[in-house]
Amino acid sequence: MERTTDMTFLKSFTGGNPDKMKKYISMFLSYCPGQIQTMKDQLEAQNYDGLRGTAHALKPQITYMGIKGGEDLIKGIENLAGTKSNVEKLPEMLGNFQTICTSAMEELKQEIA
Amino acid sequence: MKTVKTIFIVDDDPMQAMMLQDYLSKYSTFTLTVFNSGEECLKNLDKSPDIVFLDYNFDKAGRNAMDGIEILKEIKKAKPLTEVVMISGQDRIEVAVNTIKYGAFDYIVKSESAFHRSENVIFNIIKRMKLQGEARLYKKLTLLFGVCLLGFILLVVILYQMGYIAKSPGWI
Repeated sequence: MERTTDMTFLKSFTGGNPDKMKKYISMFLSYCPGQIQTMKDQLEAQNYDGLRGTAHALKPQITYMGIKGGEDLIKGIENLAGTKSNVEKLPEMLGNFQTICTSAMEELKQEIA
Repeated sequence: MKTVKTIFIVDDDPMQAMMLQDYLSKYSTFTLTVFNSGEECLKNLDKSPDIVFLDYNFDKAGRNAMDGIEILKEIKKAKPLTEVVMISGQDRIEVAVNTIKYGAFDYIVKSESAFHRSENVIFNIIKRMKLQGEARLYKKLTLLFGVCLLGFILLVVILYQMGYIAKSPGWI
């Protein structure tokens, strides 16, 4: 089965130090679910400016964790929410993003187990 | 000569701030301090940071949180010699240009290369500080030389008028 995450950057950044890897992965694991929930709440409330801001804040972490499939989606969510155009696409995009992140977080949990 | 000692990292994303702090901590000569809001950074400007790495967006810090540009303006107003480096997830050129317009030294997009770029920016700032220091030194030396030359000319005129020196040198 193809992996959702690519640890190349994080391994290079930490010099392969397992403690540092664990520190950053743990931070992501504790931060990401709350951010996804916030985005879902903001979408439901049609708070597109808030949604843009939350997506914007989460974007770099998705890159650092090597969640390649999530990068384009989070950028897309940020752009659509920012321009408030094609907002009908947002629920599907956010759903897909959540699915990818859930799979990525499972892999990351195994990485630090 | 002035060099970089104190660096502030201002970001409401704890992971981004910690990664940059860890990356730069290999240089033991830097004192690195992390702030999670612009307001906290402004309260600590009396520590005279040489460089501030400043996030552009502070959406999460609260509804009334100052944005990056406002904080940048406040820092430059209070500490004109502090160099501010903006860091943002925004890769739009107009955002970068806007920050430079308000006095930012550079603009870094949050990406995998952001940490290496931050390191390069610090070296560029150190290089510029050295050049500015040298320029100030040459300016002072030129001024000193000018004052000495003027003093010498005045001395010759005075001695000439008092008759201590001849109208023409003796060898003519």
